[in-house]
Amino acid sequence: MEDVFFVVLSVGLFGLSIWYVKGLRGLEEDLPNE
Amino acid sequence: MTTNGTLQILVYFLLILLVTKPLGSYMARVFEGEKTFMHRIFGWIERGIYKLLGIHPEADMKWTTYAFAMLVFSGIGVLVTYALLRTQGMLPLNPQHFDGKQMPGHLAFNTAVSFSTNTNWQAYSPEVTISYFSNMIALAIHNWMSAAVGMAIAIAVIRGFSRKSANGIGNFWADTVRATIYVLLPISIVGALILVWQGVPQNFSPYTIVKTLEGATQTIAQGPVASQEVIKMLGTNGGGFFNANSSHPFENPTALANLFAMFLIFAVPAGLTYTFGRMVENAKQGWAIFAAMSILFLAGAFTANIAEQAGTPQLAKAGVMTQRTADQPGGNMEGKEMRFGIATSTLFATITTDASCGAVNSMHDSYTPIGGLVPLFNILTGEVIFGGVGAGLYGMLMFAVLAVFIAGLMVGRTPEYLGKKIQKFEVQMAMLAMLVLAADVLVFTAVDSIAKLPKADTGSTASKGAASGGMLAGLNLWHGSAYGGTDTDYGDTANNVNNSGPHGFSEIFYQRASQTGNNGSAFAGITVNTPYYNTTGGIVMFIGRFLMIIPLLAMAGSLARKKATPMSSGTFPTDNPTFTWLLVGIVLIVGALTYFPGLALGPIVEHFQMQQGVTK
Repeated sequence: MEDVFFVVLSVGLFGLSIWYVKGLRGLEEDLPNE
Repeated sequence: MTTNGTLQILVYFLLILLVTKPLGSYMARVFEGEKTFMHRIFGWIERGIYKLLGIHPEADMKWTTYAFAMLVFSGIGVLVTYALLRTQGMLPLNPQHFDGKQMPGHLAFNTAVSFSTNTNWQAYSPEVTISYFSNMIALAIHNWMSAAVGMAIAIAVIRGFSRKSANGIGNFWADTVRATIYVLLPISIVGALILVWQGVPQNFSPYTIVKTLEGATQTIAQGPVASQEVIKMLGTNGGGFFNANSSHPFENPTALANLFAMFLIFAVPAGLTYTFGRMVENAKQGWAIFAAMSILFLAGAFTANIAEQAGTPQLAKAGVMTQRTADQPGGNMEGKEMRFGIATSTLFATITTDASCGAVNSMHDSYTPIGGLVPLFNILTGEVIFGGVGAGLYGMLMFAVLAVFIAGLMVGRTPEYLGKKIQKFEVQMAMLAMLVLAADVLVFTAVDSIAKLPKADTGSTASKGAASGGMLAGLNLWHGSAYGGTDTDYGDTANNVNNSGPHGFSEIFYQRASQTGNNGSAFAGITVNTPYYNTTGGIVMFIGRFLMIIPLLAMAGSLARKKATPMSSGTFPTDNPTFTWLLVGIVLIVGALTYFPGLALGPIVEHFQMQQGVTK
């Protein structure tokens, strides 16, 4: 159970980071360079 | 300040100055794909890896792809390391028979994140926790990989400035492989042999048990130390083979080994400033960054030395000789090795916290308040004073973008850096990277200072009679019995510190700063091998590494796509002393504004208390 928790936590953190990348990519597209 | 102290700093700085250009020039050639003399020796390894893994080194990646590759690579590293640590009892090279009892899930998570983020924060004592296999395969490999990733990110950010109208910022896999094979590997091979020559052990023998002269029994830990020690310094990792880290005579046996270790810490970060100058085709740009780092380094090194050499009124009152004499070091020697003294200890402390190394040859917790403030402040700058391999440079380039933006605001011009217009998105990304670090340190420090956790009823002496607290109960329990001690349930998170008042606050503050900055050094004085501290610590290190890198890659991707603007009379020059001093000012002002309240509650108030004779 303990191992499942920490594996899910690790995968979740990296999953959130990929979502973060996508978020910043969206911000970049919304703010074209002048 | 003693003559010895001054000379130690200046000789060390001279050595770093001498290596910066040749190593920086070599690294620029490596990362630009040029052939070097090392390609004749190690080229087959690079080609073999590309062939085996199907990597096309010339395939350019957009910043999003580069970031994705980095995250996948690091994520797999965390999971594999976690599995290896948890199963070390079933794996070879484990003469002490360590298993999952010494390495519970929360500690394995903390350690896996710690080593894959180049932090090497160690919440455990390696001698009673980690097998040789875990040390060499699960951990030491990360010393290479996390350092190589840091260098790759720095090179990608440099390409953001050096490329014009480009969609990509390089190939993550090629950058990481080249950093490992052509930079880290050759220096490590030579460096490990030098350390063995100086007396650092390199074997797989079980611990030796001896009878001491007093008739007591002593267990002498050993193992493959030299191979880990060299990359620990070169890769600015810092995780020690022994709990005493670089104050242990097997990790740091001689004065020459100590100087060599300090040299290894700054060699690559200093060299990368020249790599930057060369890749943007203006070496003076690199020297301007180098000069800013040098000013901050020298200021910290001299301040720490002066503070420790001055000692404290309490030591003088207790009759301790605080003046240096022919046979006494004077000053504050608490927590310092007699072999190294004040000069080399404070220099080492400054270097290891300027860089994100975290190795220590003295206990920072025992420093005077101002002496201890220096390493803490160094970490809080974001470790941009030479910094971690790669991390220092990309952190300083973040400050450089902010510096030209602020300078542009002051004189009413569109900010430019290296011919690239610095616009809204770049400033947003630089600010985001900086604010992530600040929030990570300050929020978790605040929570640690006040969080109330119920104790579990484990039957241990420390927790006997405590009421059950539901799911949160036992989250701050240290299983000391697994390491030969007794279990202790601390309950409230502020109870884990050894000191009360401002010094206790500094112990908490330093811990979170060290984890966020991926430094890994401990101020000491706080027990953190508990489920609460290990789990939150892993999250803090993760945020400090990846949530800072991602916006900087986004900034690099945006800059790479821009055209270069020709220099004009309105361009703010960034390759001269004015820019260097502006950069120093921005680092200091941002650091001071962000963290001054925390520093005021910790070392600053402790300094005034010390002068008033208050010791609690």
